Amino acid sequence: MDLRDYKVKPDEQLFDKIQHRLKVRRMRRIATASVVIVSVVAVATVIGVSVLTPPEAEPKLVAATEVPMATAAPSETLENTKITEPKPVVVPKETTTKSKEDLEELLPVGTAIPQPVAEPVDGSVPVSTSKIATIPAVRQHSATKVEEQKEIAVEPIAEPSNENKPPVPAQATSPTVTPLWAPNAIVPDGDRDENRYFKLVSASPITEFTVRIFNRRGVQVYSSNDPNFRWNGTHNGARVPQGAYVWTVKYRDSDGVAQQQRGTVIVVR
Amino acid sequence: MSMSMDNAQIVDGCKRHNTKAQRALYDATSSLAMGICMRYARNRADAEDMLQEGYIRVFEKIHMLKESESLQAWVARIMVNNCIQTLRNTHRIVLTDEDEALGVSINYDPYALDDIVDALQQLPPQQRIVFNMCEVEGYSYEETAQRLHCSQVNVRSLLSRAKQMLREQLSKIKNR
Repeated sequence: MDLRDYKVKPDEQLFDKIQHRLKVRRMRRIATASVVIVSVVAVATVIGVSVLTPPEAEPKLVAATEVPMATAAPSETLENTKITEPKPVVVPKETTTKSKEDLEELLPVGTAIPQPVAEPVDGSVPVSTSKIATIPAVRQHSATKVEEQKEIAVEPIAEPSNENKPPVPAQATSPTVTPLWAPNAIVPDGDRDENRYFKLVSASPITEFTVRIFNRRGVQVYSSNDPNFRWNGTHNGARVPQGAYVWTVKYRDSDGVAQQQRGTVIVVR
Repeated sequence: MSMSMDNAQIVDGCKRHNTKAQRALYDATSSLAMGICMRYARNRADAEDMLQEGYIRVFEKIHMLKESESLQAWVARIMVNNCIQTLRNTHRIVLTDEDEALGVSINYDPYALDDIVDALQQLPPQQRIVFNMCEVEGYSYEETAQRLHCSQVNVRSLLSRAKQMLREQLSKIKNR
């Protein structure tokens, strides 16, 4: 008898696990090469979502001061001026690489550049900042009195910005609203409890809360009206595959002002 | 259909990430591979983790298999190497300079392999890995010491203690 010949039949489902992990590893290798593409897809999904949202939920655009944006707008934007409904326009890819300085030039004087928000209050591990923040910039009314919303995707910028915040003078009398903090990645099967769930952390009490999470095909995988919700990376009880998920949240802040915020969260398996 | 595939076809399919070929390779080798992992691991759950890691290495490195090599032997070697590496990463082999006589020999014959593996799993990880490498896989003390980044003296003393503990464990089983 020889211990070298010792044989044990492994459990049946092990092969499937191995197969799954092999696939994930192959995909991850491909994915690391195309992070930019993924983020562009994520931005496109966000915009797709915003088309679906009812018009009354659109950010208040009129409050903004006149923006020197019109000159910088790509020509395709101008073709859309005939459309009577507000329509977000995807900015060509080059815009996504604009530096923060460029962004400051594009925004009206006094517009708050999104700053990193405060540390999470519940002691959870701060995950590095979100890759994608969307900032609505506003064009002045065109001759046809059509409003247009335009979104600039800014890659290297810090935290999810407070979407429809009107330009606030530097010495604002009203307190600036702190955006919700959100992790940019969760590990639902991980061993650290604080990294297993997707949740939003607010510095002040909020009401009329709605959060929705979409996969890359735009299918809603989760929604909740509970500000203290925790998403564990499942959809109809099944674990969602690894990848980027888009979340959108609407709420009224402590001053009763309607707020909207979006971002992406990576589910890591 | 996995029965109709010969080793060359299996290897060829695996290189193309063919699921059927991977399944055939797995079916042909997994019992032996699991046996190896059971010898090195502390329990079945750890062994299954090692098996998964091992097969990921097998499938990702299948292109490195030379034609002259036996598929089964190659898979077994990868499994052993993976087990050694996993254990080395999780339990650092502690250097001790106690030298003990190696005059311990075990007569395994009255025991079932399952009992021996059970007893093996009770050993501290350092002793278990050294026993597996020297006694079962047939590495020399020198090679074992190199692979584990420790001294030959340490390997010998660990092996001697492993054998002693195994003997005690096995006699308990026998008396039961």
